[in-house]
Amino acid sequence: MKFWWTTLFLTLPLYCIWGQEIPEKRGIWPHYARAQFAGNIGAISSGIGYATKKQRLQGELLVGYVPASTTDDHALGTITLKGRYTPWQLNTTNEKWSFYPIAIGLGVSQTIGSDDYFTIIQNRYPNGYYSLPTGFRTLMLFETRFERIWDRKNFHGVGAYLEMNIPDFYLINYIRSPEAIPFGDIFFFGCGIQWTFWTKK
Amino acid sequence: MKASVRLILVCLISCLGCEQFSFHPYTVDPVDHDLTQKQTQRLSAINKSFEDTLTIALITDSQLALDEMQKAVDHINQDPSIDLVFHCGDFTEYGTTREYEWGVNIIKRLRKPYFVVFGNHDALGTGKRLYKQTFGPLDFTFSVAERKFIFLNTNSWEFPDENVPDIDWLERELENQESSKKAMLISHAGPIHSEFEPSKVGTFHRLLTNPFVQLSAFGHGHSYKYGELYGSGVDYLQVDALSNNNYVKLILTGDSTHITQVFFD
Repeated sequence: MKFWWTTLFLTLPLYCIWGQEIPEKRGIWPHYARAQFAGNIGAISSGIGYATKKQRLQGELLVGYVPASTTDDHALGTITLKGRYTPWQLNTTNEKWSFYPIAIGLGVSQTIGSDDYFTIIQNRYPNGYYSLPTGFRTLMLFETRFERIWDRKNFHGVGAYLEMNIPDFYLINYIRSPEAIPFGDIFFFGCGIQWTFWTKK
Repeated sequence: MKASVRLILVCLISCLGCEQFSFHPYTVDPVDHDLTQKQTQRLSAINKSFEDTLTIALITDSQLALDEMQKAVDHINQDPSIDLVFHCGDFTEYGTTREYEWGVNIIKRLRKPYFVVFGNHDALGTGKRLYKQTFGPLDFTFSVAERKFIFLNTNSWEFPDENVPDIDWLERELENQESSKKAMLISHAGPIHSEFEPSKVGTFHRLLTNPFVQLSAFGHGHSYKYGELYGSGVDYLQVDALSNNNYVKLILTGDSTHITQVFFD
């Protein structure tokens, strides 16, 4: 039950924006909202983002929920900032569908809600005792996405995406031990939907 | 069209439950359970007395050196004289499920019983819970060939609010000699390292001057050292990290200790 309450809470930005009258002068109104399953930033996460023309560059801020069963302790939260570059956009001739075969990007994710993870190392340790903080992850991102376009006022379209990410510490492990570590073990997946309000033409 | 869309959806949904769809990098999902206890059960195959030669391979600090650990395991497997293998800690670099899994998959290929002591890196994130589930208690002992082996968690900085190392437990284990004639202590950080709680070093030294103790071995230092440290009359052995392509072969016959460093390519 707690899980569903949290799901409701995390997808709140979607319901709030739904049906809202976006002002003519859009100002800081976000371009899109996203909700994601898995992908190393929580069981579910959601947030808002901005994009440049044709969604070539995107940046978004997501809040995630990690249920207690994942880490065998209490529930955790994550705050993630992602940026990505989409070099190609393929459109169907009737311009109802857009396909973005590959996007590459970088994400930074902060785990919150537990003392088990550090971002700045405690002062009892000498400098460089641990090479990476446990509470702050850098993720390499690869994404493929399609979108159904309606191009109505304040409702551009809805799409789905599949994201593949490599956390920094697994990449370091693989670089140091390429023979012992199966290449596929360092890749992780997440998937989600993107609700696009408007785009810069 | 509809059939293919349905097929893609079914494939996608069935993938969602797999472990590659990870919720957090510090997921607790151990690849194996209670390995320390499982190895203890294999000890009955070593039917030796105190005067017989017991050979132990000591490896340590396999973090970010899994290729080297694989080579060491192959090398040790080719040496029939080795009876036991001890890993002196830092089994992982960041204490994650995946790293524990990679390490366990390699160390499991050893033909002889193996024991892993808890290292400071193994404590990071959810590492403490992972170690307890994968291997077992952080402090443990077992006896073989009339010798007692004491594995002690000495990573004081990772347990700021707890009594680590547990010197009282160590004292009790050293008093409780049962049928053993000698004891050996295995830990990750040694008393020469700042990781080891400084206020406990004095008592630790005093306990180790007990004639029951033959040797204290540890890792953490990433270099090979052997001898009597601080003029305490107790022999210490610091095992070199696996990233330097070597392990230590410890040959115990009665009261005598013979140590060689074995290099592999």
